[in-house]
Amino acid sequence: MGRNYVIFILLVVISMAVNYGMPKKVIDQVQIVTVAGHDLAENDKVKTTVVAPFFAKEGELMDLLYTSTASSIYKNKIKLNAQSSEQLLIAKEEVILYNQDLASKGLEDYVSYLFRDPSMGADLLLAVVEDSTEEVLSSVDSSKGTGIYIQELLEHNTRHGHLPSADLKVFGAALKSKRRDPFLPLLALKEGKPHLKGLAFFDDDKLVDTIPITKAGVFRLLYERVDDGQYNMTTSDYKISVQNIESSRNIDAVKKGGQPEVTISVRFKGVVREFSEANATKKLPEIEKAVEKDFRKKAKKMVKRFQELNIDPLHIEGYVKGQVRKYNKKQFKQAYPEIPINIQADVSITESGARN
Amino acid sequence: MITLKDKVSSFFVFFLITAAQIGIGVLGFQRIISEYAGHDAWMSIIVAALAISGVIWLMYRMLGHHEEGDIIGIHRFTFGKWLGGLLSVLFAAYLVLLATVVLRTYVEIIQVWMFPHINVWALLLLILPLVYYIISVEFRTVVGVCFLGVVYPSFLLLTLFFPLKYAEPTNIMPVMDHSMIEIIQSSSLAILEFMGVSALLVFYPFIRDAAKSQKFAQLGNGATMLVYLAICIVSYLYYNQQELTDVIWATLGFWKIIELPFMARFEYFGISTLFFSILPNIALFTWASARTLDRTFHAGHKKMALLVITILFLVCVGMTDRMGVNIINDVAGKMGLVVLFVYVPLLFLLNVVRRKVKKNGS
Repeated sequence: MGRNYVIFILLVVISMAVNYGMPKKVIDQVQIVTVAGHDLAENDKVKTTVVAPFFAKEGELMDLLYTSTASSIYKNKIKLNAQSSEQLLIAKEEVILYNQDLASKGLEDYVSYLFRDPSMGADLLLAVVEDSTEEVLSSVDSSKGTGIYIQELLEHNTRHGHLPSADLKVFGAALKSKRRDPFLPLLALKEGKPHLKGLAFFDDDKLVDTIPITKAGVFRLLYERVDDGQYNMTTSDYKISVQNIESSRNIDAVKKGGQPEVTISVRFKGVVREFSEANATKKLPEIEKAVEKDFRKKAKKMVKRFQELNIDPLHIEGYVKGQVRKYNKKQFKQAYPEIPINIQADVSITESGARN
Repeated sequence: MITLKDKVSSFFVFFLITAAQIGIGVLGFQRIISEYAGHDAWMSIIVAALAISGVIWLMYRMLGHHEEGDIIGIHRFTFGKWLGGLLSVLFAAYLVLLATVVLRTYVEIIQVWMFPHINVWALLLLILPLVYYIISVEFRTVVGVCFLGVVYPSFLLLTLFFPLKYAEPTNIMPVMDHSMIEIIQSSSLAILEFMGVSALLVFYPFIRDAAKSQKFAQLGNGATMLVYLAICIVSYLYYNQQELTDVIWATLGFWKIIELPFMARFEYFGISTLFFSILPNIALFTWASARTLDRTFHAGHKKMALLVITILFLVCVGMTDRMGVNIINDVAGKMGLVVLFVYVPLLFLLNVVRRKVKKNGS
């Protein structure tokens, strides 16, 4: 028995000793990259900028920015590491930015490394930048650090604003799926500060269209269930803003005369916060009707545009597949720009705030 | 000789069956079974479980008739000493293969997700002494590990709620979009996840009131089915089919979206906890293999356990990449199908005939 114990302990010790030499990563011997940006450079090369926060002393943070250009992202990793005093660790990135030129060329090759690396979280955020990601990354001056700054900029707009939720998982699912097209938030520089400019829509992995953030609210209501949204409208008579919107969305597809017919129904309720006239309470039914009409108009226009561009960010094909038996992929693809897509809106405005 | 002290209560059959069936397969079966039936493949899990339920019934019918009540006894009785012995050795080899698949795949996951630079052989030196410790003395230790192997990792099922945030119901619509044949084809792939049940052929005599324990075996099989079904449906809601073809370990992918305030990556915790799920697999299969060899050659259980573990070690070290792991997974799947659905029914029939002949003879 005693001999057995000796053998057991010996084996365990050998195992530990052999694996002791494994390369390790110690927290103060690495620089943790929080955000990376990829720009299209000349000759189809890619210019990568990474930012790693460096904690000089308690509460003080310095962003270290590194840039290099090479033909692939991991080649850049070598060049970037050649500049930094500690190993750059890319496993804890919060945001990855791509510039618009790169996105127009096709993102597939530049996002695949994110899926392949198991240390990448699925809630990593992606965004497109209008000009140079390097400029955006060097423009941020915040005690939070650039990575967290941009991450929070995108996150709070998703929680309360017009930005539909999109992270690596959602983007990847839409990119892989042959039945829908992805979209990403679009950032740009305005007076030297990054701001959320709008949404960028992709055809497969190529950027084909953008819309401003003010219009993204309509897309968001068409795309998903919203917990806290806003809707603004200007008519010839008045201006109105509906806040605290909670919405639900339903897509129904039926087959009519060999063609699928799709109906997107959006129901939302909210409260009036800004109204350029008096007596909102009395006019609520009227306002509801007007908002419904306005939403239908804006949504129709948006859907028409998607059909013209032959992109499907709303995942309409998925719903048709799910609800129409004997759906044929080829037929649908051909018919998509022409199929009737109806918009139904059911708006209820429950309150008009603390005033009549 | 198996004394009453060596036997376990029939209730534990539930844990033995469930622990033997749920193992490394839970991490990546979704992609494999969707090959034929696509988004309807979750139904093939039910088909596979029903088929296995039939096999369990067949096994009990066959085992109940023998005093020794295990596959070695049946082999000897049906085929005689030499042919029976040869078949027992083949069966032992099949059990070692099952253990290898589980262990090597687990090590692969550690390599890919946690420590890319790990030395496989050194890691195995850490795991295999533990396995030897479990299997070398008593069957009751194996049962204990199986019990804990069901209880400990069961809380991981709670993590299935996280991916529902991203659930896309259209991914599994319309239901029954594939033909029955495609679903059955897929279920032949799903069988791989239920194969652990073949250990029953060896541990049967260790159960008190063995003949009456069938309901626990069936319940265990049912529990396995529910676990796989839940994971499969959540996966199909979370991944679309095109995405699924790219993902090797779909279940591990769920954990990528879990971010807890005190833990940035849940995978590390999850993969470590899964060790409790794969340990009973390895222990039960290697124990069954060692027992089969011991009963065939009468060379001593400990020696055979050591032999089995050495083989396991060498095969696992010899396999170095994804290709190899894929190949043994495929081979084990095919062999499992043959063993459970061709060999066991055939053995059952031959055994019935042999018994009739013997009865008439005497």
